[in-house]
Amino acid sequence: MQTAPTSAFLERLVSARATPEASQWLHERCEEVATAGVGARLFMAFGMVPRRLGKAALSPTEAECEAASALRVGLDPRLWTVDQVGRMMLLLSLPSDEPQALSGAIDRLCQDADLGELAAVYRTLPLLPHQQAHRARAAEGVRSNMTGVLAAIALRNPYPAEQLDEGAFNQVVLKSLFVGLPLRHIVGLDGRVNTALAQALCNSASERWAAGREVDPMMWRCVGPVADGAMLEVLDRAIERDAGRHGLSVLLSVRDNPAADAIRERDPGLAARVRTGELGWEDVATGDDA
Amino acid sequence: MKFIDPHIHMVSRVTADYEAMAAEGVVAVIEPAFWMGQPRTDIGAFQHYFATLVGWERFRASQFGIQHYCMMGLNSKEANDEGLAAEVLDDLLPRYLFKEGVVAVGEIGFDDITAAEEKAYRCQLDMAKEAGMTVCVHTPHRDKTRGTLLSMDIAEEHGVDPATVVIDHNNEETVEQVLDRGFYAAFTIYPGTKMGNERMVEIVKKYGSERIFIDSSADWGVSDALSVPKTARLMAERGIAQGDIDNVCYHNALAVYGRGGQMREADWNTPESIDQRALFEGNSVLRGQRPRVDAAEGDVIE
Repeated sequence: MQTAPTSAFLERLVSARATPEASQWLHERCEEVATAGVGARLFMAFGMVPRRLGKAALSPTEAECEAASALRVGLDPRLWTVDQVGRMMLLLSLPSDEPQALSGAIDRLCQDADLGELAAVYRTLPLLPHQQAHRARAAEGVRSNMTGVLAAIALRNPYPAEQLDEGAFNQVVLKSLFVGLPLRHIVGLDGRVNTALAQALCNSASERWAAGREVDPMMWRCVGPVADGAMLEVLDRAIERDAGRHGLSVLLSVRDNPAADAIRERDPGLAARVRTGELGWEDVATGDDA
Repeated sequence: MKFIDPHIHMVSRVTADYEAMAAEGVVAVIEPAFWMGQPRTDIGAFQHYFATLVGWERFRASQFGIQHYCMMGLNSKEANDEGLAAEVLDDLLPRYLFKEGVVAVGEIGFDDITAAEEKAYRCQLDMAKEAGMTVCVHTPHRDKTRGTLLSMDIAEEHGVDPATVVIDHNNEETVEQVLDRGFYAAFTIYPGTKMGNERMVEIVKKYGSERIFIDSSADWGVSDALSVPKTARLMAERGIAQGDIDNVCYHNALAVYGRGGQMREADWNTPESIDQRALFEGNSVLRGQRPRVDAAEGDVIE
C-alpha cells in the first residue's frame, strides 16, 4: 500500500468531523510517531484518540465510500468510527521500511490494547504496507471472543479474504456464525468458499439440529456451491425443516451447482425465481441478522 | 431503581453474578485494580491483569447489560515488592491510565503501613494529580484509623483536592474525620468484616448522604455482589428518604468517578451510545451479545 494518499484520505475524514484543535493534535502526534516509531509517545497518543476525537460512528457519505474503494479495492468505511480513523492515521505514520519491524510494533501495541484499540488495529490491516506481514495478527483477531474485535477483522474488511490461508479464513466464517455476526458483510466470501469450510458448516448444522437448536440460513451460501453427496443431504434437510428463508438460501447457494438438480426440483417455482435473479441474498438477510 | 457498584472485583465473579446484578438494577460497576489473593511475581502478570480489565472483563459485563469501568493502580500489598513495584509504576501504569473506561487511580494506599507502601502511594498520588484523575484509597484492615488518617495527611501534603479522593472501606471510627476534611467516604458492605448493612443504615441516619456512598468490594472472598441493592432495600425499609438512598447507591459515586468524562449516565441510559451498536446499522439487538440463559422450568438446562 502507498500510505501517503491513504493518510491524506483519512485525515480528510477526521477533519470533516473533529474540531480543528483535535485535528491539529492528531496531525502533530502522527509526525512524532513518524520520527520516534513504536514507544511511549505512540502508546499515549493511541490511547488518547477517543478523548480528543470522540468515538462516534463515522457515518460516511456516498462520496467518501466511493473514495475509499477507489483508494483500495474492497475498502469500506461504513462500520468505522471516528476514533478508529484517528488510530489508523497513527499506525500508518509508523516507520515501515522493514515488514518485521512494523508487525513487531503492532504486536507490541496489541499487548496493552483495550477493546477499542484492538478493533482499530484490525480495521487498519488492509491499509498497512507489507500486506503479507500481518497475517498472523489477523488470525489472532479472529480468535477473539470479544464481538467488537472479531467484527473489526471479519466484517466489511477486505483483508481476510485476500490474505488468510484456507484454515484461517474458514475460522472467520465459523467464528462469525458462532457469535451471530452477519455473514453477508464478510468481504469476498463467495470467492473463498471451499470444501473444508462447507463440510465444517454441515457438521455444525447437524450438531445444532441434534441439540434442538437453529442455524443461520446464510450459512448455506458457503455450502451450496461445492456441495455433493452427504452435503446435499444436509441441504435437503435444511429445506425440509424450513422451506422459507432456509429454502431460499439453499436454492440461491446451489444456483450454479449442476449436482443439485434434485434440490431444485423440490420447489421449481422458487428455483425459477432464483434463476432469473428475481430473488437474491438480500431476501435471505432480512430478519434478525440483517 | 438504578444502582452503581463502585468497587467490585468482577474478574473473581461468575456470569451468574452479572445476571443477578442486572436483574436487581445494577447498571454500572467499577473494578479497582487489586491483588489476586497471592502476590504476582513478574511484570507480565500485572500486564495481563490490566489488559483484562480494559478488555475481556469490559466485554463480558456488556453482554449482561452492565457497563464496566475500572481503576488502575499498584495495590498496597504488592507495593512491598519494591523491584516489581518500580516496574509497575514507571513502565506499566502510565500506559494504562488513559485507556477507555479508566475512571480513577486505585485502589492505592496502605495495608501493613510500611515505607514501601508509602512510597508507592505518594508516587501514584502525583500521577493522579498530574492526570487530573480521581483517587480511590484502600484503607487497611489492621490499624484502620491510623492508616486512614495517614492516607489523608499524605494526600493533602501532595496538594490533591480532597473532593477528588475517595477514602474506601470506612467504618464508624473513621467516617467523621473523612467527611470533615472534605473527602468522599465509601463504605464496603462485606459480610463478617468491614461494614454490615444495618450499621450502614445508622451511618446514613446520622451523617446524611453528602459525599457518602456504598460498594460491595465483592471478590474471591466470602462476599456479596448484591450488597448495594440489598442495602438500598434495607435503607428504604428503615425509613431513609429515597433521595438519600439514590445519593448513596448511585449519584455520589457517579459524581466523583464521572469527573473525567469516562463514565456517563448516557452510557447506560441511551443504548445507542454503546460502540458496538454502530456495527449493526441501528439494529437494536446484537445477536451473540446477549448470551443470557432464559429462565427455564425446574432443573431443565437447554
